Amino acid sequence: MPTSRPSTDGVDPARAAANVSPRVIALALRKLGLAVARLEAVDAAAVPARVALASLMKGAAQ
Amino acid sequence: MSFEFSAPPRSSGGGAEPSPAHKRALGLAELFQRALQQAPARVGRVKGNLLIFVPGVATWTIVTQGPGRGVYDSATDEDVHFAMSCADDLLVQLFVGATDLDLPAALASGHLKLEGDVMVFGRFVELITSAT
Repeated sequence: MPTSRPSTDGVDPARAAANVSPRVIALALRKLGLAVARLEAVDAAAVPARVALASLMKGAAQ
Repeated sequence: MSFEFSAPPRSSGGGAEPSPAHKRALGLAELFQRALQQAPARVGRVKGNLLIFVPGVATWTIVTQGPGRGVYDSATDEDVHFAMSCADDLLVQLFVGATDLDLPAALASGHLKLEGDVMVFGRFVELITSAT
């Protein structure tokens, strides 16, 4: 399960990640994008965003 | 082109200081908007609309096609071709440079949920990185 890594210098990683530069955010998204792109592409039908959100929220504690 | 965006919830303390999650959300929204401000032909290469949901923090509908192109801070009636839920702590892990993203574990735990055409997200990320 992904968790915030423990800090070794007393800095909360979650707070440190709040002030990252746009370039760092873009690199993080690229990392996520590359990982996701390895998954098999599916030819799924488009659905309204509100329907997609409801589907994503199924089973999630809100 | 229209851009609609309002800030996600601030920290509950009532102070002026945004929460770390809020700051992360603002950083993401800024990148999304910047990506869509590129030439329409480049944005059109994404070939799809996206929904990105960070539970408890923010929801965005990103429209890359048609007259409604823009970033909206809610789930709209616009059709989307890819939808993703990404937990804020997974964003933290990415932002602080965790060496590897354990994608199977993130999917199995529900920290990451994906629906639709993953290639749409890949092309959108390319658009973002070309704008930074």
